[in-house]
Amino acid sequence: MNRFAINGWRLLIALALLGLWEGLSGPIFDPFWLSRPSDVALFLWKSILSGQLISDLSITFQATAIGYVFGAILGLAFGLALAQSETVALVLKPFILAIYGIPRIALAPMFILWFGIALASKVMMAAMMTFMLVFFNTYEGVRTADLELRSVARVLGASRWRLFFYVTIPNASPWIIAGLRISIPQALVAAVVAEFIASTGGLGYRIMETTSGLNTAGTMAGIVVLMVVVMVLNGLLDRLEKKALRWRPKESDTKNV
Amino acid sequence: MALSNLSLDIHEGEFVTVVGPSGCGKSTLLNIIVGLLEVSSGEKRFRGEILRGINKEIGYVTQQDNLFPWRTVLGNVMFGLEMRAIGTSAERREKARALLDHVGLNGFHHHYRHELSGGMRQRVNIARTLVYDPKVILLDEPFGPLDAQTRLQLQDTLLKLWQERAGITIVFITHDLIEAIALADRVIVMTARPGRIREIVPVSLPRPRDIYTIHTDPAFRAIYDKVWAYLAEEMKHKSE
Repeated sequence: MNRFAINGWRLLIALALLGLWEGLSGPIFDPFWLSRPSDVALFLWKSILSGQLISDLSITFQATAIGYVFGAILGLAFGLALAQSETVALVLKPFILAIYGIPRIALAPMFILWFGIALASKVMMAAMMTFMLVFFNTYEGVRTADLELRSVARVLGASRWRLFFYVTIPNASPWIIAGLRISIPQALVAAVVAEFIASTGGLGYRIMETTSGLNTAGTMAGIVVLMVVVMVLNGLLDRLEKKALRWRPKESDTKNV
Repeated sequence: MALSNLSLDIHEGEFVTVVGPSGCGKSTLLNIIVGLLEVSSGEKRFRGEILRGINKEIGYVTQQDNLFPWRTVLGNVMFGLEMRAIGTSAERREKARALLDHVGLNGFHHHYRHELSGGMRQRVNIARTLVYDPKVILLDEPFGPLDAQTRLQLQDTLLKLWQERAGITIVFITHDLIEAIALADRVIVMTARPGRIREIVPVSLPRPRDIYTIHTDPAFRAIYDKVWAYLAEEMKHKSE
């Protein structure tokens, strides 16, 4: 199938699903529970006109972005540092596995308790989520270093520091970039979950507020906005990742590997 | 223990090849010479001095091509120059380009590892070592996984490079006796593990040699039979 046909089919399926939802809502089930696309669209349109959507988006975006930057910097720093020593890595292994096992979303109520209902708790949730994912990926990436390549670099004259910057980091870069990439939507989800629990604005707050007001069109609108934001972010990140890792063989191109 | 009771002198400017049953410690020998491994007893001297750690005057071409996959061909060849802070960035680039042209990789400067064939990768690997002019070059079965024609071409390239750069010492490990004799001034036959030197066979064929026809020379034949006799004995030994 060519690109045009593929996109045509996609559009057709999307329209069919929306049509099905619209058609079933009313005759088959009560729109009270699941709303219907036309109501969701109307709600969205109104929120755009009133400026509420932009204001909610910017609140959630702010928390996500600040938290992400902090979490990513700390995750990188700790991941790179802890992976340096065999002994340290061996001693800390069970602790790291234990922390990795914590369902991170479950920390949200406690974060509200610690950091209040304002921006700080959302930033901290996003930061914690990002930190975990970036830290583990960086750590694993450095741990799986290619020993042969390190020997080669040493023979070619690399000092300890150069070895770190010219071999360790580029060698771990697919893992590091994967960590930085998967943590962006996760940071967003973390901020939204913190907003569910206690907040005064943002996408999570809006979803919570409309649900308690039994306004399912509003809830669905919030979910749709989240979905679109995550899809757009993923699409952008996909491109960035491909560009940064263009030295890696594509999966369809393995004949020489 | 991989090696025991091994004593070997290699002269400046010499081309030495090493053959021996697999697993006899040939690679260990090179790792010790370059300084990735230390000797557990005995000593290693370079120009009369006892050395420890990596010897930066030695270049090492391993069996796996080991190119840095995140660097282009040009970037790989410039790596050693960067690490040794030789020249300006433009000079490094120029030097790498010239050498790549010389080994027949003109037009592949911006390719990545996965875009190259096995023979091309090994050419880059050799260029990456030659570019910073090491006085001693170790090669560990560098042409092992390649097809016969590519091997011949690369042997030819290597021999020419060695002749152009008078004074370079080469230690070359191989499984292929024809290759060992065609390239070498001396062929070192090692014993089964723990590796010792079984015999050193001088190759008194005139240079420059034509790598494509040298094996038809009767003198070549005689040396081949001699080396093969020693090696066969060691292989029988090992299987007993």
